[in-house]
Amino acid sequence: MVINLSPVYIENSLLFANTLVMLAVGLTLTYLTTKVPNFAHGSLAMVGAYALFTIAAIMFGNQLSQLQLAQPLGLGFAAAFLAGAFAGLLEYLLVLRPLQKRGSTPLGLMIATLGVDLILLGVLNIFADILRGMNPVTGTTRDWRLKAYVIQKVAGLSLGVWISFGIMIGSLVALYLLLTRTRFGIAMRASIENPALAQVLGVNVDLVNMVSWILAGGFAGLAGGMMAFVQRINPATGSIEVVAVFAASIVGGLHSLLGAVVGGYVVGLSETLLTKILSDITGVNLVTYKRAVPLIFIIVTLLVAPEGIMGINWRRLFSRIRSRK
Amino acid sequence: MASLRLEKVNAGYGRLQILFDVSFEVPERKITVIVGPNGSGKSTTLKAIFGIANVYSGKIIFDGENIAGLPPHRIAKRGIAYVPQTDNVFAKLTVRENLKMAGYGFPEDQIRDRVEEVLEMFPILRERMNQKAGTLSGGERQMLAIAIALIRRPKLMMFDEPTAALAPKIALEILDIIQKLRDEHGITILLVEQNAKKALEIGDKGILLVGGRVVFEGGARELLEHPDLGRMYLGLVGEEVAK
Repeated sequence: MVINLSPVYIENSLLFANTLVMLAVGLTLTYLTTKVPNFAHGSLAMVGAYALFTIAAIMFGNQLSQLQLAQPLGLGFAAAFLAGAFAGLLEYLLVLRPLQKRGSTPLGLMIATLGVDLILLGVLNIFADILRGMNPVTGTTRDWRLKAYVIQKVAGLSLGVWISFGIMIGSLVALYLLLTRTRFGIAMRASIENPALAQVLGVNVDLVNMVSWILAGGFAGLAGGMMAFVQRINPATGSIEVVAVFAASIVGGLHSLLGAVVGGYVVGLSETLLTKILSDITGVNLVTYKRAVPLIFIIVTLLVAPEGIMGINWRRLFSRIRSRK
Repeated sequence: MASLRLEKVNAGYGRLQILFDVSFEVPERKITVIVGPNGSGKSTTLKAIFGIANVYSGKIIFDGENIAGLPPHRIAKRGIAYVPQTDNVFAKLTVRENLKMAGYGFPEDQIRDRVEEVLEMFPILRERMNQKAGTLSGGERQMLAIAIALIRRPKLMMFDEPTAALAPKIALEILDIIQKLRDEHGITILLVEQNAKKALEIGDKGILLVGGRVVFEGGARELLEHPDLGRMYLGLVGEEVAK
């Protein structure tokens, strides 16, 4: 019953949680503005991942020393953001907005996002085929990762962890400043709370929606790039991870960006660290079943606290528990 | 001169047409009241003017320009304000934040002046500045909704059933305020009301909509005292009409 957590395992868990936070924030944002649960969100991340891959394949020479990574990685993540943002904007402009204008129901829109997911999956597979002849980073275009390039230690932690925390915190701070310090951000919050009224007050709600899809797609793109630090990527990786993203958003309550951040960490660390710790304690290899963790979170949250972590009145809950004793 | 004129407007939502060849004029600095039975297209008329409902054909002329087909945020910038029937304040924000939000797009110092202006009209809101709008009483909430709309200093204000679900005394207060907006601020008013009698009493002009078509356009008094229309469509009993 020895809990055996290697630093690498902890680092990988944090990397995974960071990607979930980035994805859950974007998913929640588009849900708040356009009221669409976007099942293609994971594939938006893959669009970003493949943008990063393309830059990496072009720029990483085989003999490139690891210290020379800054430029290609910087460019790669910029491309990942832009590609994800572009794909997100297209999803909204070409599919969701026309359907909304025709009075489509939330269910109809949700199913449309599944359609978008399939289209993205197809496009990514074609793209992976086209890239096949290019210099594969590690592995093939359908099974690659960048881990080897970011594994060196910088101040005790691997480079990948620093990059991932930098991108995540930078993105969240930028989003926070946008929403609280700028006039457009205030308009965004107004149209999240009451789109009809915001519109009446002169807010261009359609622009707000477009910007939210650009940001969500961009964040997803960055997350997709970060995923390549911790796991092997193929075009379908996003469609699989989207379950965990939904779990993170739902745990966060779907109505709160802060909730999405908390949910990302709760789900991300439970799937990785908690299963490992429980495996070590019980002696049963529970890590094998870690894919079930997000599903358990979704079911339990919807049954017990449908408003999510942010909707629970913690003070009342604690006082109730105390009074029972 | 009419400040707003509808010409053969056909409008609705998606494929569901609600308004059929609706034409009428809203004279400047007057109160025009739209009345009619439930489902006759009163609210849709306001939404069509504001660009929320789809206008399939026809013209909506405001200040000499056709605004049909413009998105709502552009229409708001032209000086038309619309006070929806429900959800007309940001419930989760405080009164202060609501008023600030209403000044979206104006410079900070101008917003402060305008907020001060509307607070003079609604002194009760001054006492509620730090309270969430969702906790206000029905009447106070309606006043906040009007205050929000006034921040933009509109030329034309449209109200969708502003007295619905209010106690009778408070309903009269709100109608009083609307009269004041016309008399003291020179604002053109387009009012949709389910309480036809009270609204027509303060109104200058009356429009009766039935089944998405204009059945009557004329003086408010005239409509109120019409021998048949009042009884047939507005639930006014003989005795009330005679008054």
